[in-house]
Amino acid sequence: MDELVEEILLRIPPDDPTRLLRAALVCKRWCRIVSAAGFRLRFREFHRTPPILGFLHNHRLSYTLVSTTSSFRPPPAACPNSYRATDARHGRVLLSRHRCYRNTLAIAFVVWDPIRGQSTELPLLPSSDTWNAAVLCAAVGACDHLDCQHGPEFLVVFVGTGNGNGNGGTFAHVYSSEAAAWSKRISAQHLHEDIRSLPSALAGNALYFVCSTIILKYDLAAREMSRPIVVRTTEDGGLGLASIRSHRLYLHEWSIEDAGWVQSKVIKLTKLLPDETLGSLRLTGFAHGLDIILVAAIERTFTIDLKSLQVTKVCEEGWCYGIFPYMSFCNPGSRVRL
Amino acid sequence: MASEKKVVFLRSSDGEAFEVSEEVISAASVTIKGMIDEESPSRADTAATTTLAIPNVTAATLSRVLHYVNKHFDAAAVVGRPDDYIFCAPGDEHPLARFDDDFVDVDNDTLIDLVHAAEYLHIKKLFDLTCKAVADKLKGRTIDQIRETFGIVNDYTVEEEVEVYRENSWAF
Repeated sequence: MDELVEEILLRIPPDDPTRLLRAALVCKRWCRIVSAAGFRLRFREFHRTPPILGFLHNHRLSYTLVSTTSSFRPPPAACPNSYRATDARHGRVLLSRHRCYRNTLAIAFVVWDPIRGQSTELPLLPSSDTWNAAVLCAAVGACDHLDCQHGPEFLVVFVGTGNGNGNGGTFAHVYSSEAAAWSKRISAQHLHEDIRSLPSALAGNALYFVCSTIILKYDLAAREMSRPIVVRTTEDGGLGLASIRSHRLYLHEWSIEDAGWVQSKVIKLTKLLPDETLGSLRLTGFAHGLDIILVAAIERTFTIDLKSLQVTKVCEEGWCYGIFPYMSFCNPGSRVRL
Repeated sequence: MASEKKVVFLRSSDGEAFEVSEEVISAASVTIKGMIDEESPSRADTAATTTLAIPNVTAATLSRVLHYVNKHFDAAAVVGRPDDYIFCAPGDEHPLARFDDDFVDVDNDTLIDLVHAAEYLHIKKLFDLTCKAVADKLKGRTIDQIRETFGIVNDYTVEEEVEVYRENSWAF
């Protein structure tokens, strides 16, 4: 009988996480079923792409998590308000803020797991003129990222340019939760790029960061930086580029066969978005694996589903300081012993 | 012609026999295909019709299952009788999507019986459909309503219940 209940609960859609939680609260037997490690894995394999539970939205000095489902309302991270969202991936959120430390400016990072309610403070890093950072599962390349949120290990990749005292060059540091420390400085003296605070993209075994004129690639295996171009992860996990010109959204995909960019789609925005927003549109992000693009006008932010062309308004704020979809499966009570 | 097709009879737990095309039921049900394969050495004389006992499924459920099977697995029905699809709206994803929706629009007990039958007969598509339909019934129901729907008694102590709520503070 447990097998049948499991088969039924497996088919509960993941987009409203309280439905699974309500099932867990029905009786102990159902709770044991949905919180078992095997069920968690099957649930992820069955539904494949984690749903968007909310968006981390930066204001001038802090962030909020705007839930897209009525039932996902995590308590805030256990750190001061002045932190801002810098990235979100594989069920984790990267928060950061500048801090004065021994008379120099440093960056404090916190990695937050909203579902578990756990926060990890990372050691301070010296600030640089421009920088960005990304959080990801430590088993990149060897993990399908369906359940890695509950694996303990993560990486934070920091890329920065200039250290404020005339020393140029772009450099990286990688924090490994396993080592609980930042790596030594990984330098790329030949690069000197202003790094933008736009969301990074993970494609294959590399992270891509947007700079003023180029895209910076950080190869996770080779631990080195280079400069191809990208801003998004395509639905099949490949590399994609999006740009807006003349009220049209141009999408390119990186073709390994052709070793070049192939235009995959041109979408007319005039019919999709309100007229008054067209003049001020900016691309602000994407949802990994869902083929969803985020665009912002002065006072509104929208998602565009690249397949169905469905447009959804996310919030009443536009051109904000970075917006990151928070995507994760959400299973209840997995540590409860019954 | 249809009359040349081999048929088998399925006898429900309450003794009613149902005729079904051997080809169709073999394509649908792994369990019955296995039974037919086991029988076949003794069926050299094709004139004899086979009756298979389905001890776990009642006539009411079995007739529903066969209705589904004939719709989904009878290739001749799919291409040969367009009238059956008069209820399919042009935008339907799958020509049988409307049929499936109506098929699982039944009371809980009937649906659970179908889940059991689909599992026993090993009809994967029907099992997926019925399990999904039960899962959909949980939508919008309170915990008490779910208990009532499935006849489950709450065995949580207050402390245990509080602990589960505490562990899942993202929802409250």
